[in-house]
Amino acid sequence: MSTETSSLVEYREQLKNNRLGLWLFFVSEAFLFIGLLAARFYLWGDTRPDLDQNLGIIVTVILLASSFSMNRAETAIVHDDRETFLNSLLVTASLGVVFLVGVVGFEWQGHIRPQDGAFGAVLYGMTGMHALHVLSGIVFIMIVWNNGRNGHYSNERHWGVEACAIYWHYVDLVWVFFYPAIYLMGKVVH
Amino acid sequence: MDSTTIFVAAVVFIVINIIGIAVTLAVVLYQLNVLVSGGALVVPPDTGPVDAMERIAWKKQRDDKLASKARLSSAYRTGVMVLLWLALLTAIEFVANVIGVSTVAMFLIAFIKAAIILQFFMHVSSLWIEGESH
Repeated sequence: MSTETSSLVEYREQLKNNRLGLWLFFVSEAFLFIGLLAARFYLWGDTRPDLDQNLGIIVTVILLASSFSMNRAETAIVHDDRETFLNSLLVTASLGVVFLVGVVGFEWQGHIRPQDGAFGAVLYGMTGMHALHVLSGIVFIMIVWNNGRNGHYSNERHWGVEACAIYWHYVDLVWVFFYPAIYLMGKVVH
Repeated sequence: MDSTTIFVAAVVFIVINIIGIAVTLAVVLYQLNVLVSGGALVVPPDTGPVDAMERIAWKKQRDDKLASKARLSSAYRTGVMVLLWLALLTAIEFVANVIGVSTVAMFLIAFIKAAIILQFFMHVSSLWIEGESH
């Protein structure tokens, strides 16, 4: 077995452990988000605050689109399409920034404040914790983009890209549950 | 305005609309195809070498390249399909809220969306498939 082949075998062995570690991290993170969801149903019950529905659906679609471009970036590096890989990462990060602006810049400037009882506490707790993850995801994407620009990653070795992509999709996955819980479920209380 | 004129105007209006929708659909499908296949609609002209052996090697190389491009297009297409399904389910979720569907049904839609993301975007099955690389 050549040195290169043996190194690739070692890399693939390591890859399995890396994946398991990342998914264990997601499991631990899930407890945090499930806790926030439980707080929402305990404190809000079958009610919800009067939030801007248009804003809710717009930020949701933006996050879904960002997941698509992230998937495109990962697919591109798997097939050695470096240009699409780098461009798609930039698109993903930009959409992430737009999502943050939508939540922090618009939703947080609405009529509900953090000190407004259960509605304020839960709304800011859920969206704040999620926004923090989006922010860290954007930083992660920019690090991967910079590494990619400097010639790192190939179709055989791109664990950094895979981890970044899975992390970003996880952030999207959390929003899949947060969006209906915050904006859609329950009766509106003015 | 008599009823015949209204009828003719309505027929013309419908025909124009059908043509317009067909043209729009054709353009969108063409653009989507170009987008997902990276513009690989045009088959490259057969301008390879004349020598038989060289020609065989050149053809093999070309076929490999085309196969790789087809795989890439297929992977991009899967991504587009997943996005469309997620968008459709989000739209259903939004409409379900308007018509007052129960919380359980909303959660069901959310779980379907989550399953799609887990399988197609997060490749959760790669955790237990032995020998799975990237």
